[in-house]
Amino acid sequence: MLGEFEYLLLTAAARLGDDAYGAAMRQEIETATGRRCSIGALYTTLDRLEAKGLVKTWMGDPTPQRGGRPKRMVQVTAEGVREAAAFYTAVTNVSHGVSWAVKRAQS
Amino acid sequence: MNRICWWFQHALTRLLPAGERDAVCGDIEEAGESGAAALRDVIGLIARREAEWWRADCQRWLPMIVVADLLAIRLSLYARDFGRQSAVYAWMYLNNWTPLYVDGAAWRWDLIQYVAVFVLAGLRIACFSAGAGAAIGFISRRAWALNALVLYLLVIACAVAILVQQHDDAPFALALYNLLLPLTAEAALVAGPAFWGMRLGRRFERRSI
Repeated sequence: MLGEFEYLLLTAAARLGDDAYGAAMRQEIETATGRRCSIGALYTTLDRLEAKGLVKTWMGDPTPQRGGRPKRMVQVTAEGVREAAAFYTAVTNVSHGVSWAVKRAQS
Repeated sequence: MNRICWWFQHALTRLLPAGERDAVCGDIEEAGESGAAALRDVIGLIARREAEWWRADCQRWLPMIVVADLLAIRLSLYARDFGRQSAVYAWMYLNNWTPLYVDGAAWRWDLIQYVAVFVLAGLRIACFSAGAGAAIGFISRRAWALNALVLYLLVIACAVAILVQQHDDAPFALALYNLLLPLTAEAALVAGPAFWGMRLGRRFERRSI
């Protein structure tokens, strides 16, 4: 079973698609959660997800807006998609009927 | 203040692997962070990386720390005994020198024997120390710095114990024999060879991967 932050990373990477890399995923998570996402948490969790075979990462081409530095590109694997879907289903099922889930559905 | 933070941030990113360093610096630049935030991010990343490694590899570094402890204590005790015994003989010959020591055949033979025994004993301790250092450098991999620190702290602790010990025998009334010789023995027979051995062990360890 995935951890909460692992799920956030997988979702951000899946949403960004071909543009998924460190800074963009960080921005995506901060916008979605309203909380600061540290680079340390991002990169160590990415390492863990890669070790589990849930994402694939590689170094992209250097870009001028980053001072000629390359990006660490991220792609969710088929196994990662399965794990994220299982986590989402579990959270949706366990949240069924609870007050905050009902409120959100009504609004 | 901001410039100091950026300076530290750049210095600390050197601890990261080359590829990751570029990616992290690029992310920080793209996010337009302040020096303090960038520094906090880099420190956080390095701390998390180290914590992950220590947690994952504790089966490897924990026994090595115990081994380093035992080796450091044992070798320091050997060096202390060596320093004390050689001090007695050094005092006997140097402070009470008489031409008879080299003129008389029996005396001369004694002198040669003592020198040979002490040179061999010193070499033996130095070889043990170098071997222990090489083992620590080779086996403990990334924990070698911690194991080296433990070893040297214990060697220093033993050296401090030498400093506070009092002896009533005549040679130990002189600082040369009471302090200088035992401390030199610690440094030359344990600390120095162990450091050399560790460097050798690290070199072999890098080649073996």
